[in-house]
Amino acid sequence: MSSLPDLVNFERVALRYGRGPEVLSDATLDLPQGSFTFLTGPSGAGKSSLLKLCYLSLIPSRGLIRMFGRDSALLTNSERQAIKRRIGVVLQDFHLIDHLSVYENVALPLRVSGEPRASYNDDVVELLQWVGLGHRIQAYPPTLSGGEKQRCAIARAVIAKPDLLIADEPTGNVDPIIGRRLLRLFSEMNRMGATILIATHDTHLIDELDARVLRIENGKIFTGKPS
Amino acid sequence: MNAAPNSAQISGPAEAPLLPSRLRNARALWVVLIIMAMLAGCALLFARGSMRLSGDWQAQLSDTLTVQVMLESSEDWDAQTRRAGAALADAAPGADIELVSQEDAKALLRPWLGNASLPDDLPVPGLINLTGQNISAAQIQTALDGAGITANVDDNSRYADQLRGTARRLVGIGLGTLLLILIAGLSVNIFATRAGMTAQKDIIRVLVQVGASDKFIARLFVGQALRRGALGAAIGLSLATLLWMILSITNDWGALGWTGLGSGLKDLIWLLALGVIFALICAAAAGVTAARQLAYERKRL
Repeated sequence: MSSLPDLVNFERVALRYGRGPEVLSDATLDLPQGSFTFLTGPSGAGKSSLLKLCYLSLIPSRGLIRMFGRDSALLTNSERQAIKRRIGVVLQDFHLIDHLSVYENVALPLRVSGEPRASYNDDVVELLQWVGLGHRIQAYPPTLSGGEKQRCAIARAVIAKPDLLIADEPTGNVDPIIGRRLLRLFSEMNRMGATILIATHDTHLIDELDARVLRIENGKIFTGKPS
Repeated sequence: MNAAPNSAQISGPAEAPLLPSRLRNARALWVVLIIMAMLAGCALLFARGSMRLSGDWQAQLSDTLTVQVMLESSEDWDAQTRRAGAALADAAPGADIELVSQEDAKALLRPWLGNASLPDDLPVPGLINLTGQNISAAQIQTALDGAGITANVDDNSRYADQLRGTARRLVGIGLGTLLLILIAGLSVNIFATRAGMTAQKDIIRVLVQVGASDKFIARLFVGQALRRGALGAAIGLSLATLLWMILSITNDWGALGWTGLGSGLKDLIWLLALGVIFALICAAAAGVTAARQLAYERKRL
């Protein structure tokens, strides 16, 4: 695994919001291609901020971030968006679009990249059935439970078969059975070559897989589970 | 788990628009756009009517000459005017010659001299109106001089110039008003797009997250504004058409209003073009505003 190039590489990265204290300081991280990594740490340690840097939603205050071998600071807007299309993101607050059906929400990344509906229709339906939303395909997000929203957000993140999947507490709102099923989905994606980074508090989830674990404490990244 | 619909059941209707079509406060925007389109339509119709009126006036004046016959005494007023009329009939055989009676000629002086009875020996010139095509004032003057009649031939050019100037100003007012309304329409759409982007920032955030380019997002706002502008223009311009039709029927506006099918149809084509321009302005304002706003937000990151 170590012989493969890094998909994400942080070198002494720091992040602060406005004039506040540094949320991350001298964070160094590498995610080799095809790796499966859990990111853990106490609330407020900077997990979500680190993930935002990984999916190019924030720019670091200092330090170097390489994404897919490219210095993120030198990316043009179109290159940045092209890289974003290679990243699937699952956020804690789901970010579903309320006036679009579950089907439309999940198909969104494919629609944005200009693919015709006929080419992805079957994939979207199949994936929704896999995540247990087959019966809610035409429902709208405001009518979904928290767990259903979570699964819809996950389906949207993986539908375009991203090279990198970033998930922030992806199993936080689902029951253990669905949680295990989602983990199997992530494992399957990883087996097919995707790089997975999951931020979670759930130690049971971490124990389910033999994957690398990073922990974040006081803005710094360490390897291994918390003691 | 209930029976899941198969993929064929899903692939029926067209894709839902990525931006919601019904927004809060959108009704107020519709009203503003419809009123602006209606005012723009009225301004265009006024400008077009003024152009028609000007053309009408020009045509009437260019075919008319007024001859002032300087009479030596008022006793033989009618005879001298008739002699001048005969000379004119020889000089311009196809023209329609109208001899103005002495009473009518005197009446023309009333605006200047008041309503008091005018003295009988007032030297009122004899007046003859000539109407016809291709009458040359110089030719008429030469013929009258040759017949020994002292007369001034007025081809109404000074009056025509004044009318032309007035008509030009009316057209200018109409087009100027139209331009101002279109600029206001542009501003309204810039404001509406900014407000729309603020209201839909969560959707934009998701679109950016799934890799939508600025161009893709701006195009969504362009499409929304184009539909809004086209529909607003259709309703507003239809109202303007209806209003102009009613005003043309109920008022004696002459060429300013619609006097027949021809002028109405030409104006409708112009209104159609205005509708297209109105919708394009809405779309362009939305596109440029959205692109600039997205670029600004990215810089702020």
